[in-house]
Amino acid sequence: MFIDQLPQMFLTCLSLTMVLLILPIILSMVTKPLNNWPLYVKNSVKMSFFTSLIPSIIYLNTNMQSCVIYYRWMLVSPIEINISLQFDQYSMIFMSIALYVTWSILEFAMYYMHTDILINRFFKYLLTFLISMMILVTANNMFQLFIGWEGVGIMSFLLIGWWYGRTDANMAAMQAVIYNRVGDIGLMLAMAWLLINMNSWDIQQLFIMTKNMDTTIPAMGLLLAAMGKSAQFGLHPWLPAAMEGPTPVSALLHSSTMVVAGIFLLIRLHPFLENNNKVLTAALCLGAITTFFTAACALTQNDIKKIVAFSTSSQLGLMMVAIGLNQPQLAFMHICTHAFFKAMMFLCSGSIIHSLNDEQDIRKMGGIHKIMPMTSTCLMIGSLALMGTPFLAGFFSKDAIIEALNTSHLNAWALMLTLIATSFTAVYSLRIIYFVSMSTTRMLPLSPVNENNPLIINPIKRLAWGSIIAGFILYNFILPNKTQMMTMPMSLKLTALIVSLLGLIIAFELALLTNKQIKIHPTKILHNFSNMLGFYPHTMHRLMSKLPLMFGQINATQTTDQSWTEMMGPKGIANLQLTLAQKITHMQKGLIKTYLSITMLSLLVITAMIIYF
Amino acid sequence: MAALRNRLFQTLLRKNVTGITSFLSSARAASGVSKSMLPGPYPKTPEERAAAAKKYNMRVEDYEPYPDDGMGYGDYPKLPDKSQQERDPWYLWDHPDLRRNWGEPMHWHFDMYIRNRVDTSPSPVPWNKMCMQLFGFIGVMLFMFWLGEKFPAYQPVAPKQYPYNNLYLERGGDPNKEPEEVKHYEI
Amino acid sequence: MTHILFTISTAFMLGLTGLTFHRTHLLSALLCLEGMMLSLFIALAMWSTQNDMMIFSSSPLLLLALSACEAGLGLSLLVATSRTHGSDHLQNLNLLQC
Repeated sequence: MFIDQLPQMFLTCLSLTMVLLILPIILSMVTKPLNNWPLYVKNSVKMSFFTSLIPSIIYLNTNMQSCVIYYRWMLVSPIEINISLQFDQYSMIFMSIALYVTWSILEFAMYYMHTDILINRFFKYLLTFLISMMILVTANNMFQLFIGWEGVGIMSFLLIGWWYGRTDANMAAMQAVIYNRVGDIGLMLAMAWLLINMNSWDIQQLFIMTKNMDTTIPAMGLLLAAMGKSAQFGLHPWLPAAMEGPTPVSALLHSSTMVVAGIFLLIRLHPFLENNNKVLTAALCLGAITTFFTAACALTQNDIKKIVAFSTSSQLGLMMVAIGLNQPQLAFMHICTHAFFKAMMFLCSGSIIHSLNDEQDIRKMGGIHKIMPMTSTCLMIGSLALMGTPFLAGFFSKDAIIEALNTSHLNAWALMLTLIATSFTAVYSLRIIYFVSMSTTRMLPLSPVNENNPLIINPIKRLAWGSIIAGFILYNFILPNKTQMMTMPMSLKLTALIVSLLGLIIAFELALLTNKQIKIHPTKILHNFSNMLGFYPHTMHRLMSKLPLMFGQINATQTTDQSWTEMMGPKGIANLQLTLAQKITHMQKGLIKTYLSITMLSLLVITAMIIYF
Repeated sequence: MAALRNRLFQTLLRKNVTGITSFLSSARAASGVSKSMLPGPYPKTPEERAAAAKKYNMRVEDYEPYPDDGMGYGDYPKLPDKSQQERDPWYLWDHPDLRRNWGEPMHWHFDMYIRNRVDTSPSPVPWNKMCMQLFGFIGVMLFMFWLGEKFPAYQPVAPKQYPYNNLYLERGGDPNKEPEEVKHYEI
Repeated sequence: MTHILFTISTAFMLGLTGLTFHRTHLLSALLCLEGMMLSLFIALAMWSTQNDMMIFSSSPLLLLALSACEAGLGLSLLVATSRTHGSDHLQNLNLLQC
């Protein structure tokens, strides 16, 4: 009886999930604000999460996926654009996880933004962001995906620049928008190519029609889009700069949901990349250099949020590596598990920051685990999960990717870089834990340390549970699409573990190194390179703005517009006519009226002659 | 009415507009600027330079026009290429957001050097060193990636070896004849 | 069709006559110029409808746009003469006569 009603239940629950999210927004536009709006929003997301669990479990049990076409929006024949949602394995599991993480973050934000007058607007922005992300994830055509894509971009801008009185926050929001925009060029290129050549934006139709085609151009476009949105090397500076926003924003956008949108795009549109070796190699190399570079930068940062941001960037590079290995499912697994422990790490850092009276520098923190046991424990759990400690959440996805790396035919340097980056992960995780929670305290004496609030404890605990068991659950229930390599030598199997342990040992040395800097000017070149983010923002932001502006001014305005076109047009023609006019002026007497009258008379005479003869 | 219009014409056509007439003439937007207030050709004699410096509200010692190479700069002064960001943030400027005083000569590329655009403040490490380190790093990475493409990493592979003498009978071989041995490796 | 053709041609010739035989004011010449332009505009519009050739249906608009430029030019010349000579009387425009 239950079984044959499963499809209706499936679709009803999914629709209910979406409606529960949209309801608060509509309510806010219609009536005056409720008494405890943040609580209402949090409860909506909680309800939405529980409702979305039902379809996810049905999928895990019966492999039921669906694709719903709601409404025919545009018909520019032969192109038909519908509002259609696709609930396949990727979108359903991601929806549940995203809603779980968002629920926890909203509860935390009720504590974190408590003293902010505009807390209602903050929650509305977060909810709008969540809706855009849902649209992106469930999109069944490129147009809807683009709407979600732009939606998350704009909400990221609004949320990073939340404290807009601060110039740094404005600059960070601007950076986020500009780097995302550069990536959007790639997405638009891909969309245009697909529309012109495939005549459609429906994902199913695109997959069928591009089966044996050379899809390098859209694949490169999609890679550029993922570069921009997921902060790969080249378009990466916006992610550490985005830490100017409040911690709930960093936790939601820049760790779990928005930055994975680029990788999710590549996972969803994987058939374009499958048979294209050039693009796969490009993705692999890009991911490898991203993960290495950002992990290297994270080694010497002093702001706790920046270290976690670079950690996010490094894991995104790892996801890109997984895509470059032609294993989109592993990348997806890593997205899911990464959401849990990264959001938790951000929430823990938020709790620490607020407790130390908005202190973000790890050099001024210490001994936290004695005064904030729950937070530091969960920070430790998150770091261990990040490092890929066996049988925590990160292990199942990260180890799978490293195993796939080791047993594939790929670029040797990419392999090397990824392994080094894995060891760096251990290094900076230990750096956080060492500076924040170990040894003696370096904070101010009268800090309002308090983690006894259930609004802090419950979300962090929930995400901690997720960090521990989510990997195991997902791994057991999701069947792989591609056969994994199961047999490999022991050394390859243990690579990730050994490399992480090596990193831990080196980390202790590094922690002592930066303690003992005596001179003012930095003399350690590598440390300086890493601390200044490889000088990438400093050089690129100046070069990339000065060169086009100078080029435009000198070449386009001065040379072309004001010199050549002036000479071709008004001034040149005037000069040419001048000599002629001067010569002719001497020849005639200036009796204009007489000349005109004679012209008229001649015309009349000629007309008369033509008519009568 | 006609008298007023005549007076206005006189003030408009006069060379030097000072005092209230400059205020009135400038209140009519770009039409009130007299020929002497606009930029002119490259100054050749010292008197022309002095006049140009006075026109741009600069000292004669500070005034230095762009070189006369045909790019159309005329006698516009060549101010140092410093962004507005480099100016003292704590000084009481007339326009605090622009960090500029009234009547100060504007840079030729003033729209590039506002605080929202190119910033020329000194970087913590010298510019050349920064560029060298960053592009050196990128160059080394690209070279290593190329090397990695040339010598990829892969699991050891061997050619396929079928049993029963490369499936001699299944492939339609003669049962009476002796097949040749095909062995790539021993198991 | 011949009636329309006659009307439009007459309008054009009248405007041309007005333009050539203007006596005192430059403004009257400009007005006659505008009249000629108007007759041409109507002629083009009629032509494309009468002959059912939709391909020429944009030509009146093109003519209109360019005639607007020309009218602007004429008016700016008028204003310039009125600035320098004080009025638009044609007797004053005798700089070319030596």
